[in-house]
Amino acid sequence: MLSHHIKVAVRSIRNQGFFALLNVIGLAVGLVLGLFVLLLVKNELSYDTSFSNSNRIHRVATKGIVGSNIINSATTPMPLHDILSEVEEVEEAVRFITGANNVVSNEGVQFNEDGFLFGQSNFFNVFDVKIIESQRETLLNDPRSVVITQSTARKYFAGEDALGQTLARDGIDYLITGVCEDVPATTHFNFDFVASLSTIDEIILQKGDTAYLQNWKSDWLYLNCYTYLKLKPDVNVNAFETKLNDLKDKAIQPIVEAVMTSEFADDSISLDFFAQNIEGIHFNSHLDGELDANSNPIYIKLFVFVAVFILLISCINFINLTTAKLRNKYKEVGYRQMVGASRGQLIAQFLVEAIIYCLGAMFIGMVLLELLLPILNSFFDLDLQFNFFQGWVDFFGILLLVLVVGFFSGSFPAFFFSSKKPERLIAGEYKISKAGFIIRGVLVASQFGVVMFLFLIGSSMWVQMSFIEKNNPGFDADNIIVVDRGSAVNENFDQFKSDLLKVKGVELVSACSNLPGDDYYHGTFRVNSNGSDHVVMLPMNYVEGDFFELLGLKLKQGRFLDLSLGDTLSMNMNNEAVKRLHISKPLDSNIEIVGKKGWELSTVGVLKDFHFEPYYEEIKPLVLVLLSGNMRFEYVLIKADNGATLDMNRISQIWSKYSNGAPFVYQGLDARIDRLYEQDIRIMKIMMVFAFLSLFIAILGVVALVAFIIEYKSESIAVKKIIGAPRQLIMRKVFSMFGVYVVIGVVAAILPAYAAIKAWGETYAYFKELPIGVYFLGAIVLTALSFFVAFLQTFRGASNSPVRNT
Amino acid sequence: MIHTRDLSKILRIGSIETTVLQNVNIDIEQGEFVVILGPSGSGKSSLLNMIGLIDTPSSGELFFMGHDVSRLKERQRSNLRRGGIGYVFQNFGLIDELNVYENIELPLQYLKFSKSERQKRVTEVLSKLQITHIKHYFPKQIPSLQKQLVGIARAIVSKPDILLADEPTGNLSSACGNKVMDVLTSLNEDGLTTVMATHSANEADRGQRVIQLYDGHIITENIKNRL
Repeated sequence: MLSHHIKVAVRSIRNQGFFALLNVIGLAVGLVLGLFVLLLVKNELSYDTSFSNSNRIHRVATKGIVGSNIINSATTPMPLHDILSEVEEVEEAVRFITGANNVVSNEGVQFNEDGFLFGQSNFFNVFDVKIIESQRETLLNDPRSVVITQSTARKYFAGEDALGQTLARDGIDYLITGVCEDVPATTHFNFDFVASLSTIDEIILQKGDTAYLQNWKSDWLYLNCYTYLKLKPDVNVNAFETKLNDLKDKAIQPIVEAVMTSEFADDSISLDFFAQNIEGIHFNSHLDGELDANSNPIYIKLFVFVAVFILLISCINFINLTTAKLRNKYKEVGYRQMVGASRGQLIAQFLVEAIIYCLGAMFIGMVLLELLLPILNSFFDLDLQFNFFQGWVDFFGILLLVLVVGFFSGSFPAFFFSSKKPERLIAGEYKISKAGFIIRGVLVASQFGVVMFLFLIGSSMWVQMSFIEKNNPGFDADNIIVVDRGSAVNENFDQFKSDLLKVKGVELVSACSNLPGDDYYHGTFRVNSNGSDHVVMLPMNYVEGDFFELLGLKLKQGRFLDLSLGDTLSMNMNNEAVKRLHISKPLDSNIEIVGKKGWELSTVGVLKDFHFEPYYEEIKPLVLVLLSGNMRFEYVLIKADNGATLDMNRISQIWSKYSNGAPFVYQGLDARIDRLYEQDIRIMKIMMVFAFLSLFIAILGVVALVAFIIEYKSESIAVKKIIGAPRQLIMRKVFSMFGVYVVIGVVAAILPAYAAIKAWGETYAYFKELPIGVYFLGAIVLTALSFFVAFLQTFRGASNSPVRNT
Repeated sequence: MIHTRDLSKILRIGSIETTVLQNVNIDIEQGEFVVILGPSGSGKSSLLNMIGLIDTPSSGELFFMGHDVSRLKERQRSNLRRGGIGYVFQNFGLIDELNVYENIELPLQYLKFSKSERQKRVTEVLSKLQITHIKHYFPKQIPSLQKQLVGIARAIVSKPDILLADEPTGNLSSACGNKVMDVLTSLNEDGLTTVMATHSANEADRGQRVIQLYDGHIITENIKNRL
């Protein structure tokens, strides 16, 4: 019987021609979107599941208060690890430090590398990336050992065996003791190199900072490393956290008291540690010092909502389009009943037909997805993979989706028609109740509601992105090139700068330690305001003298820092710092650096506020201090004359001359700032594409509903035409039967869209509301569009010869 | 074979009641060719529907093969219908998606006959009605006469106890109608009990017995050899 059902379904689809095409295309589009979101969500949820027992691996993070600053950091103090080793619930604990962007070289092959970690010897016990080859069992025991990833090995050794070779970084030669597989992209942190943590001692020694050498592993108030642990099976995480903090209190209390006495006066210090399972970090964690940009759950919720709704409206279209050909269909059901079909056989027939539609749509959808995925990945800047036959879960998942969608789509005609008496079906006496029309209308309303919702969300995102692009951030990012790892020219910066200024078109050259989007180093200061001392942690930027002019920063009072005026212990602060710290006379005030008794910075100028962090963050207080001596900086900034094209070859030559061969990696400052919003831009694009496709599906919905009305009312339309009713009257009747639902759907979407926009807007500190006119515009355009489509369809229906339908 | 006692059917549309059949008493015996004659709205199709177990009476009794079926539920009636009653429709009632062979085969599929048995029976019927040459055609590809022959073939393929035909020539020219009537007569002569509803006195003449209905009442009942 199944083969009969399949045969009939295939022929029925073929016979329906245009309607079948609409049906399949509508479903295919819905399923493509559904699959795409499935891949997106699967990708988001698959983070950090590649490690064995990932459900037992946790990151320890820090929260607390230091002075008047709230701490919420992904980092911990180094000595925490020693306590963890004593906790019986802990199977293994590991800590690592991230290395700065630095040049790594091997016999002339050199690259800037920011994926450098210094990890403990048991690093790979917790993060069990597969070791492809290794020299010995304990890979990271000795100082100057490094494990590199497979792609890094290819990059530096091009086919040669990397094991036993050396790589140089910052004056130290590292012996490659192992090569591991690349870390999956769906990991909340990434690395290309893991060097032994014990190497840090040598680095510090090399820099001659003996005081720091003593403290870096034992300072409880310095959050300088990342600590991860694998708990034993069935350990209660809350109980573990309590135990850990109890142990921590015993260790930290005497130190805190000592520091309080000597430094912090009236302020308090409190630190607590908490465990985050690594599977949830990408999805939920937004702490200071995150190893990578994490996701925002609101997007996933939005995507899932949209995908479910789009699938739903695709199914609704299927039902509407199927039942639009009702007259033929219910007679056929009647005949089948008369020749002996049971209800079960009839239901099976409808469901098989629906599932075959879905399989066809799914096939088209999968082919489309396979063809479009590279374009979608490139357009949305994603790296989604679609391997239908790779995993059984995917295979069965998609099969299940087809069955569910097919069952849902086919169930209405299946159960509805099969329950009717055959003589009524054959006699064509079946009438749709008013409720039946209302239900169909509500379905169309929901379709247009979804389109309106997506349109408003997409528009709001577009408005916000335009605001970010056009709003004056308080500095000028145009015509500025940022060269990474500026420290390569640290030693001869003045000469380097002087040579660059001779290049045609170069207007200004400067350097700094931070740029918008970076995690700013926070200095700890004691500030006297309102008669009492307060300890505050303030973001700091070390800048070269021409930084201010190069970025076009504006003064509110005083002057810019100037080395020629002896400003080594001076600072510029922004206006927000003056406000937040309640400094009444900023140019007369000094702030003391905590931990360095007697070191005070005097304020020589107050800058107008500028967005040194993305628009997600409110403008915070900022302290700018001049780079002096051999202080390390991260970036070289080169500003071109307006309209000038820089000779990048010449600049690269000058860079090579002073950088000791370090790679010349640069980008525009404006492009760098754009990258800060790339996730939102990506989401905006996805929303716009979704809105467009759901509009397509909703238009199909109108076609289906109008077809249904015309088909159902064909006899009465024919009779009206015969007795002389004008075409307009018939069209008005059809419009009145669906138009109101489109308007209801569009209007009903406004409130949830407004709420979703508001929730999204809260992720920004500076948010541009969607103008009210856009709400009206969306409502008018969508309604007009639906009427236009309905007009075309109705015009055709009302123009048919009445003889055909009487 | 079929007996009705005071069979009545009342249709209710809102508060309006319409009596379609009133106190109808008929007896149809095995092998008979009974014609129900009447103008449009006389109740002949309603009577045929009840005899064919498609509809239920509002009152009275209906006996089918000795069983009282007047109060059976749809599922029970459906089980009796399946294979036991063959239907011929005015507008043929063919499934557009199935070709001639498959349309005829359909009742046997619903009855879960084996493939070989289905093949044997369909071939027999095709041959009997001389439509073997069109067996691969779809309904839209054949003329009305052949459509009705396919409809008759499908009705008899399961070897029913009774054949019901509702205006079987209603959509045909008189020449084609005559040919269909020849087939029905021939089937009856082979022993198949046949009940046909028609408004045509000429066609009614082909039956052995004519029951004339008017406004839901039997006004005459003539046995052909007495006319």
